[in-house]
Amino acid sequence: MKALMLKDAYLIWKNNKFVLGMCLLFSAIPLLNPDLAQRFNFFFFVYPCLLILNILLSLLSYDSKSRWEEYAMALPYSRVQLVTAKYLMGLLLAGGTLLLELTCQGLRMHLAGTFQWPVLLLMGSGLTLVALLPSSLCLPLLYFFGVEKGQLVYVWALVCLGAMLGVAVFALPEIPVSQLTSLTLPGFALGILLFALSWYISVRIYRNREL
Amino acid sequence: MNALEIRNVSKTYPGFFLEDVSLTLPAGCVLGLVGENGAGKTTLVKLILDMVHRDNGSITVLGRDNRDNFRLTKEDLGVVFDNVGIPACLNTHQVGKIMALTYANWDWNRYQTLLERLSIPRDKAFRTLSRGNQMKLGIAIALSHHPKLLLLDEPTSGLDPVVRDDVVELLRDFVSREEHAILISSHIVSDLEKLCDYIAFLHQGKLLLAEEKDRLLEEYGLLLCEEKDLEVLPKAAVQGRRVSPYGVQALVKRDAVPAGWDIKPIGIEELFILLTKEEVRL
Repeated sequence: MKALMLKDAYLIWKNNKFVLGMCLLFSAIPLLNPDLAQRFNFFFFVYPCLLILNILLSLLSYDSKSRWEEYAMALPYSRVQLVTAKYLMGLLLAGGTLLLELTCQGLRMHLAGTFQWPVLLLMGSGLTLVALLPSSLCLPLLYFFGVEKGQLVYVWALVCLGAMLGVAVFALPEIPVSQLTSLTLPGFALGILLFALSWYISVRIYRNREL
Repeated sequence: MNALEIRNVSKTYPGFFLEDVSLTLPAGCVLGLVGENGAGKTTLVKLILDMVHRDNGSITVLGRDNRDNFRLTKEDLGVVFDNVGIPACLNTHQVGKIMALTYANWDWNRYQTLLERLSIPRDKAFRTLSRGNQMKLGIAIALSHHPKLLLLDEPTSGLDPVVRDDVVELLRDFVSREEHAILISSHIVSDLEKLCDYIAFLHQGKLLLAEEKDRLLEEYGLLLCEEKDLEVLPKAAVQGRRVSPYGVQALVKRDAVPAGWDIKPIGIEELFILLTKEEVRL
């Protein structure tokens, strides 16, 4: 599977440098412009994670356009490996973004004199969910419908997720962060569990798919 | 050992069916798959690779069922599709690195030698290569891990005659080792005629015949005559005909034609055309 990941890494580097740059920029804004980050912290916090799905979608789209998905079936890989490689790439991207964002947020808190490990870990838990949830929802649909229809699914998933986040932010009562830290571990667990479930469903779909 | 055994394989799609196909490719041989567009050639290759699921029958590749841990069997397969399938932005070196991590038997020296022999430009993105060079790269990849069986789906389509000749030469080299075998589908029957030991005709999802090429050429012949002359021949002798204002070209089975008729040799392309169209009127 190293080869599949290497192929995807080449494609990301060739085609998604701009998106990677956006991830870096949005993650670093809390450090570069704390005032702006203060006003729109939630957006800068969440947006890089959403871009990950964009990269995965672009990889699948590229595979389909170049007919790689058919060619890969002629190489010594099983269908499970082909799906797993994409999920691992998603996990790597999510992990990288998470690390970058938490580093920047941690530094921002440190510079502001408000650094607390439980809060940073809670942020990590929330980010894990935000980073993995869109991919978890979309990848099985992309494997089922194919990439072209999947583009529509992607847009709808973003709209739904945005709406859900909007509701969460504005409609729910404001709860002090200190009371939410108990959700850190369940948040991580839920993110990973959803992603694993999504992988399982995608594998089932791809096993039966005809190319 | 047979490199490939296909037994009573069928596949149905809406508007298309591949019906009860049985084929055997012995090791050391080349089997050419001839058929019009939509005849089922690519579907058959996809069935062999388990990219599409057969409705019934069995497929054995290099002695193993193609549903039984096929990943391992694919280590010994080299596959070239007509669209190759390499991501457009990758160059030959990057492709080589990916394949080196893919195949346990990847041979960098062989890959470099083939790139040189086939004059494939190095370090150019796949999309910037000509159609001929893209196809040659696909063939170089397929040959660089010492496969035992090559599955080639239209590998010479869109190539100029010089490149096609290079490719045919390369495939001849490959099959000179007796444990190697090739299944090749092509529209360009002249290439198959140069290369193949066996020929299989697919027509509208049905296997019309599969025979040794030399035997086919011995068995069938071309009769040039008047339309009325054909009426005296046994029905079983005439397998197809092309009628023109200048007379009739009839595909005949030599052993069913009485002595005294001047039967000319026939090429594979002509044989296929006359066999698939019962009567061609010009």
